Amino acid sequence: MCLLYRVLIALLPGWFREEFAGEMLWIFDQTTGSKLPLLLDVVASLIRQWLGSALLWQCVLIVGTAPAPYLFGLQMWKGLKPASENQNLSQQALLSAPEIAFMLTVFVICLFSVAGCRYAMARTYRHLSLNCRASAMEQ
Amino acid sequence: MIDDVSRLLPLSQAHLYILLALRSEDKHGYAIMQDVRELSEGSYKLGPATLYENLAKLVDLGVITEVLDSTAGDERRRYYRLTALGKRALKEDVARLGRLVGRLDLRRVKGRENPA
Repeated sequence: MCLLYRVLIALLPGWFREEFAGEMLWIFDQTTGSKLPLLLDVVASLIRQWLGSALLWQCVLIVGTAPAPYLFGLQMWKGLKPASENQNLSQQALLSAPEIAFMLTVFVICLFSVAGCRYAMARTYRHLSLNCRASAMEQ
Repeated sequence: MIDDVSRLLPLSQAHLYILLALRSEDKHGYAIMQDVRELSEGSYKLGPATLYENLAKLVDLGVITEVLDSTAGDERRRYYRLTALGKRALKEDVARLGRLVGRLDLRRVKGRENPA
């Protein structure tokens, strides 16, 4: 049971594990009676922490949405090709569709990266400012 | 300052119980867990993972702070203390709940007076 608890704790996010694993194991040792609720608690926490992580969702969004503009551009290019034969459009104009798609992809990735950095910075700043304010008020 | 407190309210059930457990003295995680169980008469149990998740969140919000206790002996024990912001948040949330209960009581009394 203790080994399973340790394995589950090892799956928690790094910062959380480093901060609290020791105390969690200590509480596990202290607990008498059924230890099943403690195991279920870690499982629930694992789901909350990994699925609730903004960073994880940003990664999912980047991976999920980045190919979309490219694929859209490719479809657009395929769709335009027969029309060019009829309407005599220049080859250069047709080739620009994947290029636009590529630029859109880069734009989306940049957008999410900037959003991620801003989120991380805001979080750090808020944490620092709140702690400073809290300690100032204490004094 | 007002905005700081109002953005914390209403406190979640876990946050409210943790702050209530810390209202009188600094406590470590295990003591908070036991206190929460006593306060809720066993109806609300916080597991260690959920507890530390919430404690980290509360520290992040500046509602509680970690306190180093050199007398504790056990290095793994970390004590937590309510900050001034935490005390205000707790006071206002308890007052909010008091007002809510008061309003419900008033409605019940009015209902008895005017049975339709």
